Amino acid sequence: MKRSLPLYGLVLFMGVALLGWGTLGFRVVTSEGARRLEVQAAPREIPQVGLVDHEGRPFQWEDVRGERVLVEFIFTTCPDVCQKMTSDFARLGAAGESGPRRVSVTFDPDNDTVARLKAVASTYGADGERWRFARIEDRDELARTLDAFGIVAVQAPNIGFEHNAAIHGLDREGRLARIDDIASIESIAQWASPHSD
Amino acid sequence: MGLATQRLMAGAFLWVALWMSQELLEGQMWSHALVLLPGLAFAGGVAVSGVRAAQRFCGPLFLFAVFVSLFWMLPRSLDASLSSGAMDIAKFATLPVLVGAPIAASWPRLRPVARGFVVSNFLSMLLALGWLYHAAPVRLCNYYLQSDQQSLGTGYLIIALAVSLACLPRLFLGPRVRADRSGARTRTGPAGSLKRGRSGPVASPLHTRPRI
Repeated sequence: MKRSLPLYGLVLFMGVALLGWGTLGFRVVTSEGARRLEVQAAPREIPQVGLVDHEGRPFQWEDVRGERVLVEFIFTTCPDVCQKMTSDFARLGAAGESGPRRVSVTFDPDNDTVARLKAVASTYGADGERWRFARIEDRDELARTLDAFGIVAVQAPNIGFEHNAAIHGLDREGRLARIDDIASIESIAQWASPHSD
Repeated sequence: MGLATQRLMAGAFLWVALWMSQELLEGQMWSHALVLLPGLAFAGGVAVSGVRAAQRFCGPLFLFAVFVSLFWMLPRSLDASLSSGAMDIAKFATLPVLVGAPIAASWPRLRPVARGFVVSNFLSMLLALGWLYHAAPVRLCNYYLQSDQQSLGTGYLIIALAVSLACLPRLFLGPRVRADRSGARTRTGPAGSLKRGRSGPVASPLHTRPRI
């Protein structure tokens, strides 16, 4: 036993280091938690791709740069979490306020045509300026975008998809700088408000 | 072909079989966590079965294997092995070499108390994880459905229950180790009949190895 002590010490050190690496310093156990911490520590560039908004107008992330932008990833037939997120987005621009700039991107362009997005946008009262619904037509560009943001949508029976849901914040340089939980939109909404500095 | 070579081949064959059925096994969370990961470790164990690590290396080796297996139990690692090619290769390399092989080489030489400790901790961890996966209202892996997670939780609970049941006869009906007046230990059967250890007369308490 005494002769093994240094070995035990070495193994303990390596083991704790390995688990520390796997959990970003014992802070997360899920990849969702990790992606939130990672962008906070180092804002991430996102690929420039061709988006089309619910009025059928093409645009790029560059076009909404200059102020902070909130981004959510949804599919319009979602029975549950997308509706909650999108209602929160709607609330941010209610009561005559202009609200933060928002983009709701669908990851299901097969279903979510421009016409479908327009219908949903009018339901929630998206004005097409401060808040746009958008789709990315090119499959490769969509995949690269989801990858950069860290969104995984898995096909699920009956409901369409299960996916990780969060509110994403782009900074003024257009980098992904913040990912907040959907349960607490207030803080990130404050951060992205046009009156914030 | 020697026995050692045959075992090595058997382990390698199992590893290749798992590699080839990777897509099938990674399709569901339960088969990923309950078939692929333990299967890879098992392949490593089969490959080196018969090899015994020197006594003083056994404890550290085993502890090392436990740390590596804990790493692969993190939901983040499971996700990472699906999203990153490098992590996928790491999974196929480290589970046989750094988990299965060290466990197979050290387990038979661990002290009975250590083995009992490991088994009981393993069981309680399975129960806790099983309950967590079964009941958690959030998805722990981005690549798997919530219903998948619940099936895995149920799987963990079933395994914990099965292993506990399998241990029961040995715990309560097996031979007892009892110290007599001279301090030497003898093994007695359930009816109190005197029995000797399988390796003949018992020289020292450290050498008795009641199976757990």
